[in-house]
Amino acid sequence: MTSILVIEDHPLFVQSLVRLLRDRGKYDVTAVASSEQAQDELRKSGFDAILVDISLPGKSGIELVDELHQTSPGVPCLMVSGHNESHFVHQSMVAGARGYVLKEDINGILEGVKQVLRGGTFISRDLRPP
Amino acid sequence: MAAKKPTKPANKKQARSKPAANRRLEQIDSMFSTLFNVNPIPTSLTRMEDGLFLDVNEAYSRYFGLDRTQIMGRTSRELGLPFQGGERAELVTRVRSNGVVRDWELEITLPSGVNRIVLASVQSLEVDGTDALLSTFIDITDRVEAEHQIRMLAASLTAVEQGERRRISKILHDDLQQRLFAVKMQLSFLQQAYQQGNTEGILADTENLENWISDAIETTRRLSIDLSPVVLQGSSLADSVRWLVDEMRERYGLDVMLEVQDRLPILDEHLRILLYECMRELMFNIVKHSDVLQANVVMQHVDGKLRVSLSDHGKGFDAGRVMSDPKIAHGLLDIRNRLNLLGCSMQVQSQSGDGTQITIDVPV
Repeated sequence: MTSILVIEDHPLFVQSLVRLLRDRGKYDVTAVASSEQAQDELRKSGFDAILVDISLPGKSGIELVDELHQTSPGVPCLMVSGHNESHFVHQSMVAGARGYVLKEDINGILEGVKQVLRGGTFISRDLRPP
Repeated sequence: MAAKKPTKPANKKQARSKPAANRRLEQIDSMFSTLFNVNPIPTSLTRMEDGLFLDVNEAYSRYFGLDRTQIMGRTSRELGLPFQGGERAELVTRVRSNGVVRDWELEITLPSGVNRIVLASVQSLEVDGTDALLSTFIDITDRVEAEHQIRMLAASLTAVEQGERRRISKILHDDLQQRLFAVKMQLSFLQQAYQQGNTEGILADTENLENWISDAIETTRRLSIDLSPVVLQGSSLADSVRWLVDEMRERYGLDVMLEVQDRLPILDEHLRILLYECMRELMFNIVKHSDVLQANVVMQHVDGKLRVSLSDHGKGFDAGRVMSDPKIAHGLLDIRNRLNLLGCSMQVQSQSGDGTQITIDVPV
């Protein structure tokens, strides 16, 4: 089964996100709430993709993606964010994310995971240039 | 000589024998001398060539702390008085060029060693065929310091406002927005359950939704109260503080023993709101830093002032050291500055291991 690591600190949102990925994506999902926990989890087991919340306590999601891009270059990262400003998208992609998806874009989250797992890139429709 | 006392003619006959022009000159000289001496602004007359003092008025002697006899016949350089060195060279150049220098801001050191800031104005004139400088010095140290304090306070208020904006933005983004994303996802699950005829799923998802929306409502309510407590609108400070005490107990578990004297003076709204906000921050400081969840607040009318005292028996701190370090006491100094701006004062008494008492006096 395809395994996904979710790094998200808000308890309600992570609960819904995990359910979405499990129920509709049929993924094996592990969720942690911080960058440090993510690194611990990555040392223990391998994942096929990582979903990173852009606003994490301590180290930001962008910093974490940058780090993961160095330490786990083969594992695609998809940024999951509440920010719809284009500079966040740009910074995330520069840091090494393979996609950027808005938290309210439910179908986009599932589509984004699918795309990055296939080696592609994905950006939520609302954030794409016209 | 400029600062001579007015003189009377020896007798009427002698006066009449003097030419009218001479009498007129004497009158002008006398008038100038009087004006020079009674002028409350420190004023000196020096030789342009070398800064030799030709005359100084009483205000000058008093301001620079030197007796007139110590000054006369000596140069500014010898006495360490303005103007000296490059400053003097610049002054002479400017005076020769324009005849006058107005409101030149200078930092000077008085013979006592105290540093002051003055506005110097200098006029060139000729005295008995000698080029001279008539200089006045207006001390603006207090004004400059007050302006500096106002700038610091303005910067501090801006920082407080920015901090508050960040805090609100964080609440909106990190909490409320996340709840709304989760609610949207939950609606999607609910729709799916409905399409599948999954009654059990519908009930569970509906219950989740209801709880989450209730939480979101509570978050917006808290935010709204934080931004502008309704209780502040129209009620007395004592009523607002009673409400605040309940809030602190409910939200942070802080047990506040509140003692309010009867018939406290009524404060203007802006002062009441400021005091409320300061008390809220100080109570929050107790929650964050004191290691205890108990505090005492006393509000009383003392010596024509409203006195508010907040105390705790927590771990305390070295008040002398902390309050003199803006990096550590940033929040407390901000509160004190805001209070000072409206004429209030704040005293902090604390020792490590011995609790803290903060006293605010409000003029009424």
